Amino acid sequence: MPEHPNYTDSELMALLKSDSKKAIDILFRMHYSFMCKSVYRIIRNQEKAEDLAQDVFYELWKKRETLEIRTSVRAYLKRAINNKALNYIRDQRMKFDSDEDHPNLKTPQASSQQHLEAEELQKIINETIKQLPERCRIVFSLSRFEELSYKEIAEKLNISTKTVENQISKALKLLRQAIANRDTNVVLLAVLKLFF
Amino acid sequence: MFQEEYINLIHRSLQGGISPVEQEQLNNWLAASDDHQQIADDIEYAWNLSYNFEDDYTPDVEKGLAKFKARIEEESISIEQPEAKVVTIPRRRWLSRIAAAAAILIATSIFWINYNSSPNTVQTAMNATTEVRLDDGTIVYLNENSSLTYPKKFDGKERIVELKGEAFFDVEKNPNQPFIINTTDTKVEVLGTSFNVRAYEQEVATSINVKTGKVRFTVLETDDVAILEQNDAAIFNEKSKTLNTLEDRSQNSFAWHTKTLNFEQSKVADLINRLEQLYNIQITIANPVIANCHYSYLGLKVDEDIKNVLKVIETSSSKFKFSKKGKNGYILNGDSCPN
Repeated sequence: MPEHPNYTDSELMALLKSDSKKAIDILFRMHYSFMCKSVYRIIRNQEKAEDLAQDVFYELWKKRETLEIRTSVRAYLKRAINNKALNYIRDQRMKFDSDEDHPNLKTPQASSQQHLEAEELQKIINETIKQLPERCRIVFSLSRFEELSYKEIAEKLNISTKTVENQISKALKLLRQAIANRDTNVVLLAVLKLFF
Repeated sequence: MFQEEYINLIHRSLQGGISPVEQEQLNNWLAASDDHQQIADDIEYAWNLSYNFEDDYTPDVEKGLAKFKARIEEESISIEQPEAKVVTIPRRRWLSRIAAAAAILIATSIFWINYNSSPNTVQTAMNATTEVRLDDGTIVYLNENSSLTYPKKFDGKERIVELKGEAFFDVEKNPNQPFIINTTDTKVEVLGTSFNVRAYEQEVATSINVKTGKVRFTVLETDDVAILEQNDAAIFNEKSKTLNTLEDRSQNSFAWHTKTLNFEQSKVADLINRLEQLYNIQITIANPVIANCHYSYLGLKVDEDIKNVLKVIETSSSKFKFSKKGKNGYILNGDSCPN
């Protein structure tokens, strides 16, 4: 991957007007990856995630001559990609209110036989998040990764605040269950390490 | 309060979105039992770990960049073309010059330009469709209550037509002369492809469904753009000013042209909507249970009498029964979903 010097946001915005091809190149390399990942947390389809990130850059490209960004470029792109992802969900008319309420989750559980270190707990949490039911995962992700309030999530997904509350508490309960026995395990592990 | 509600309070306190009164409420609950405190600790722990959530997914940036560059190169072909300049000369002025021999020559050439570029308009009535063949070989199927304005000859850098209402376009491929459809709110640009545009002025939405090829759909007011490929659809809502894209493999949006509907595990509501729109009828669902059923049938012919279409649905579903109600109404009966 070709190296590029570190540009500040304002330098990049100026460059976008003078040497737009070079600027878009740098912007793409700096931000594309996080944008794809951010969509993928909401829409579990890598190809679609990449298409949407491409669309954001394409729109930025189209507006390159007149674009004014008041926040940081990253914040601007984050917002743009989020809106894209949420629009996409709405287009697909995801059935937020008919989602199954009793998922058969095969959540990995921290059992007392396992030696759990922080890394393993992290893995368990990651798996649990991936396996949350769709509506639950999306609501949780918007709270966790986009730091949106209940009200904002409700507005963006066009669902009630009550539904957001329910989905958040459901997600947290499942996450809690997954790691519930950690203390005993960590202590046990520490003791075992002392002896062996 | 239920435990769930305290979980929400714990969560909001972690997020920093809790009022002093709620915090007080939460503190009391936590102090009431060690179990409560344990729940809060676990949730905080899980919440903090979830911050580091990572998918096993690393997008290929270089590949993405190459694709992106190809896209802006390709799009620049049609973006950067200068607009075709149309020179119009008021008729009165050229009439006054008609005396001079030289003017006659000018007038003749103006007439020739006017003849070739002055637009034709085809308008369809209610319940009528028509087929228009354009100079470049493009075929436009115009749905009812629609009008298409087009030049007799496409001699600019672009082939520009204007649409009100709904039409299915089968555009002759010509990469050097993009085909552009202007509607009241949107602009559609293509090189060669087939697709359906619905832009009735009395409806709030303008929509496009692409059957083959690649189309660029631009909302004039917001400058929003959607690039659409096969089986993609886009809808612009004039009220909310939003442009949304979706996938639609059914091709049902241009059933008025293909005379065929496709249902693949489709909601009964969708089936009913399509039939109502195509036949200008009203269908009432007698039993709410039926509304949530799914129905599959590929290639349902809709070029004949509605009675025959309903019969086919009855037979194929083996669960639905239609009965007539009033002049343009039907009732869908049944007590369970088709298998």
